[in-house]
Amino acid sequence: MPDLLAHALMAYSLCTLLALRYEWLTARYVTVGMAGAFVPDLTKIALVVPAAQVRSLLGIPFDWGGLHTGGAAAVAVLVGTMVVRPGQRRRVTALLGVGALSHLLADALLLTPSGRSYAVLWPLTQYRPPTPGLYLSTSPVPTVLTAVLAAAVWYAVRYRPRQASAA
Amino acid sequence: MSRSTLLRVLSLSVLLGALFGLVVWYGTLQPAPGLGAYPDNSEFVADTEPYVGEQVTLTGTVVATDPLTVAVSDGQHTRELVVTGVSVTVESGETLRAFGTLTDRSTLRAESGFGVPPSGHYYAWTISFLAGLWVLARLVRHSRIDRGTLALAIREDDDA
Repeated sequence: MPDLLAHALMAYSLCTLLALRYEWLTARYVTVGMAGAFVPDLTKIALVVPAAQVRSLLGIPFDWGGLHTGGAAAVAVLVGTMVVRPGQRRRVTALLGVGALSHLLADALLLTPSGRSYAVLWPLTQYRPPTPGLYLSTSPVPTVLTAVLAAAVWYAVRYRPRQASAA
Repeated sequence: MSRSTLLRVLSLSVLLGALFGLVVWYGTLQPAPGLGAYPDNSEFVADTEPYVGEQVTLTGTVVATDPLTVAVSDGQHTRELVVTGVSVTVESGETLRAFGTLTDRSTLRAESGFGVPPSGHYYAWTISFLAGLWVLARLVRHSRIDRGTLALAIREDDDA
């Protein structure tokens, strides 16, 4: 999707809904899912350290765009896995994965001039699927929509009718 | 260093090495128009000749509107191109994103294109930065560093 706020709000909604199903998924783990939504945008390091600079410095091919792919996101999620303590790794991996995946899917719908998105499944394939072009990365509209969704989810979960027993 | 910490450091090094490898590998990829990966600034700006007659994706800053002229850069070289066939109105200073055919070394005949005003970028950067701060603050509140192992631990109910 567009900006990181929209991605974080999307992950918040998804993880909060998953929390209805999984009791261990507390607000603390929802935060992990939101952090996962940032993973594919590691590619934005390019704004600080342009790839051309790295190329001329190291003298090797280099393109930060490689981070905004399914394969690199999976590896980056595993980095997150190994950062946390044993015993929480499976949960953290799952939630970082949910966040990263929602980001990648939302970005596959971005408007591009060629009508093709990005190499979603790289390094399996360089294929760029067609994109419906629903929004621009600089538009506030998706952010507003995801904020409304997140607020609705928060409200629904917070004030949902309590079940009398675990039956 | 305990065995498990050593194992962690080792696997983190391997994973970060793999990420670096992917970024280098991605840099070696050639355009593949059949797969939707059209040549872009990083290919045609430095040497346009081989791409004349090809479909390319262009990103550039609008420097003049009659005729529509954009400055394109690949991070090292910058040059100007005339873009024809853009049906929407774009203004100087906007970023033009276009797709079309290079008819000669300095002209793109666009099939589609749209402008992004500078305010759009400022908006996206600001709101993304704030989102980063928000999630960072949540992470700090919801997790802690385990002193013994230097691992990140999500706080459980029995944590202080």
